Amino acid sequence: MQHFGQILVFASFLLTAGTVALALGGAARRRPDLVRAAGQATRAVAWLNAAISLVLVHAILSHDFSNRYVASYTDSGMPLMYLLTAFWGGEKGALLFWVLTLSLLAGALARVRRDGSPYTGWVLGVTAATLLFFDVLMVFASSPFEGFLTTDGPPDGSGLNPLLMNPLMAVHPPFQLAGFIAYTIPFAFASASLLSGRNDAAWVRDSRPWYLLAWSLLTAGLAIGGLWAYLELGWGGFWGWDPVENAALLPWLSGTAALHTSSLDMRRATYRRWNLVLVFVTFLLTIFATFLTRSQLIQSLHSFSNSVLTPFFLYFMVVLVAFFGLLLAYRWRGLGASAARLSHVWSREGLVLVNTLVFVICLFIVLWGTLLPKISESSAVQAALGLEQAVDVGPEWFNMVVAPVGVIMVLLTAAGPLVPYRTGTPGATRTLARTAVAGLAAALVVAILFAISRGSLLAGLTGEGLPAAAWRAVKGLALPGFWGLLSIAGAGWIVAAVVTDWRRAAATRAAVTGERAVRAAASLLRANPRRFGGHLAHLGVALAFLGFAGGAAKIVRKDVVLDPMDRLSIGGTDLIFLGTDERYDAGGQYASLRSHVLAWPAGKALADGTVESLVAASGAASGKAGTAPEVELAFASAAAAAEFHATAFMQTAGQRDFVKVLVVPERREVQLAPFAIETLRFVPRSFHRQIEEMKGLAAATGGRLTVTASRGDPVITVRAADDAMFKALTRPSAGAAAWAGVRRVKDRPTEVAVVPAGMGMTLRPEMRFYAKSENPTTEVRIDSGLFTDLYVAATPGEGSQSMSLTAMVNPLMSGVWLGSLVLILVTLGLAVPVGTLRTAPAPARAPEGEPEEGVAP
Amino acid sequence: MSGTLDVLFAVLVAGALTAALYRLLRALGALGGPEDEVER
Repeated sequence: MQHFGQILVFASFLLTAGTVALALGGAARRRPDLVRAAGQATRAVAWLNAAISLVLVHAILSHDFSNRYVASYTDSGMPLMYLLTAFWGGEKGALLFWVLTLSLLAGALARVRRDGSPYTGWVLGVTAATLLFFDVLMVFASSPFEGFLTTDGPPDGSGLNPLLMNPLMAVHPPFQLAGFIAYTIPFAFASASLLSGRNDAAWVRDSRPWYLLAWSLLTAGLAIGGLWAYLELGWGGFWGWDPVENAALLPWLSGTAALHTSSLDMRRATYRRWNLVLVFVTFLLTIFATFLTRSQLIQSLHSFSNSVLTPFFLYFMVVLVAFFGLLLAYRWRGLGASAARLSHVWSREGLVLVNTLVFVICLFIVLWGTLLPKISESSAVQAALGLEQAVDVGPEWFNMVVAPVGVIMVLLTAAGPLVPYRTGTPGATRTLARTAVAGLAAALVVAILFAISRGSLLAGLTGEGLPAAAWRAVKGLALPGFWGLLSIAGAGWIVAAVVTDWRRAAATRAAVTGERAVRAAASLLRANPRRFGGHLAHLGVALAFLGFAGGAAKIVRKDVVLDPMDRLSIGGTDLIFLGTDERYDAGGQYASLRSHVLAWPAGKALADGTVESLVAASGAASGKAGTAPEVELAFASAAAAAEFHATAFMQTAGQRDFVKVLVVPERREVQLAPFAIETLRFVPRSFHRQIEEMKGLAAATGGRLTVTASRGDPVITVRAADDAMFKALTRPSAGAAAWAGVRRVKDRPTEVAVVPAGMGMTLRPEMRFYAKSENPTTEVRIDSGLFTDLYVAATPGEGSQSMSLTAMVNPLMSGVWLGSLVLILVTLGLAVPVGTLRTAPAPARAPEGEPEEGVAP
Repeated sequence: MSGTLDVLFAVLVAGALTAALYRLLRALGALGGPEDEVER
């Protein structure tokens, strides 16, 4: 099958080359027949690449390990979803994915643009030429259809990196890649506009739906990647300023700037040059991001090792810069002459310019921070900059530098839409001031609420008065808190601005059409999707910034080593580490070491009657509430307490961790085996941990139990010294046990503390150990709420049964995800309907330069 | 099971290749043709 795939790849390469020749030839010689033939050929290429992809998918699904790619990234035990993920999971498949997506987009483009004009010819030509570059890579450097020279391949494949075995990771790469790829089309339109010598904004209008689609996909890629990092990587954040994350952010920054300049270009014929440059830079940065991922320049979680493609991407970037640079230089004057001048800085145009500059500055900051550590390795650079060694730029640096820029962005987002085109009016300034006050008020309310809630927490811990504690809590936030507060003010301002503008426009419309206000507001969105869709998108921005602001107030307790029944207090919640157990997942081929962590609101008392019912269930003499949710049971004697301890232990930890294999009453002996025997192969010190657990119980009973472990079979033998203890050890639990955890009370031998079952909420963070990977993964658990997330991750600690817990309280985290979702859906919604109208003649629009309907009163 | 998979993909690949061939023929047909005949 490899030969068949290879032949198709080569055919696709030839056909694409032919398409390039037809399209460029047709455009240059103004031959509609050639351009139309190029359109048909583009669609042929799309089908051909679809066939190639199907061949690879078949090889993956049918476990054809004679294919080197299939053998490297899949194995026969993988579930279907991750098998499909393998299509783009390795470099060669990702390359085919790139080729497939670009040719499908090009095919769709050819389908809607059939006018045979030279302009269309240039668009198709540039798109096909870009496709040809990736075809060259696939044919000559990195084909997914390589076989093995001497053998038919291994009996089973190597499988996928377990970090990627996550549903989010299944969808992050295709979104991210498709976002990169889709930027090719606006670039092709921009090039075509320059090549055909047009100085108008037609290319902006034509490429707008593609542009929005690309932006939406890229945003989705970044957001899904962030969500995956938050859930999977175990450090509690969603953005680590990893070089490859930054590389993916770069085109997003220039792309977002271009999104705004292009609106202005369409509406007011301004920023024509800016717009071309930004669209080109965005496309160039998508290639740069791909280059950075594959190069050995940076060490990153994302990097593909041993890529042969690096130099190709470098050459391609050089060619692109030369091509577009020359083209732009050639047309520069004409473009300037055709564009309208900025009449007043205090206008929509002026603010968009500021916005663009802020995005460009942010882009340079991120680029600088990403490349500086690498550049500063060179001794010449070190000498020039007066450095002693290579610079290490960490997340703290990025957060510190990017935060103020972000705040400016969010403030501009609020102000921009309220300022009319051409020049600001006093009325607009008044509206701005009024809405800004609303934003500040929102920030103030949040600040007060924060001070009270965090202050009362602090006061509870330290015993100081609420005002002092509240002030200390606010001061503790320092600079990030200041930026966070400004972000909240900005977000509030955005909401106030959007509501004001929308309400005003709806009232005007309702007065004219007689519609009800709500209906009028809805029809505005249909009538002017760019303006009101933009408003909706800005609400998404507001939500996201609330999430970013929440990051400033997050509470982190890192790497706290806990033994069973120890507690950790964080942000008003007590976390009680109940213990661990181990399970084996045959489908996923991994063993997991799970920690059971009970979350209990600090200070909350147990329900009435809990103590009494526990006393009755345990046979204790009396009981009293301990630190909730613990109950301290007092027994008649130390011996009775020890017996109860053994029973309770066997009914909680014992049941989680062991299977009773043999009970020998005549020797007062119980033989225990690990609950899931497979875990011994994967989890380090698994059996040792279990032996220690039973030895701990033996010690707690005052030596009335002896524990021996067999060397051959993984069996732990527990022998009781007397009949009472043996009875306690083997007492069956009636249904569900009444307790979740048990411990001895220090210095009080007649007492035992228990945590009743069914209290609070148990989070079970895991460490997963895979059969086919040396690196375990952390599976964090998050109790996610609208206002705050409680986040718990656990890794094995130093002691025999201890675990190292990382817990966080992340306020307003949901804003990041909800805001991203709004942004993605809104831009997608704006892209799609316009896209379907593309074949129709351009809708009648106000001629360029006409003022938009007044926003200010 | 694997037989069904093979047949399914054989049909899909053949379909895609047929569509590609059709578009290729249309491309060749468009060459040199008068403008109006194309896409009508």
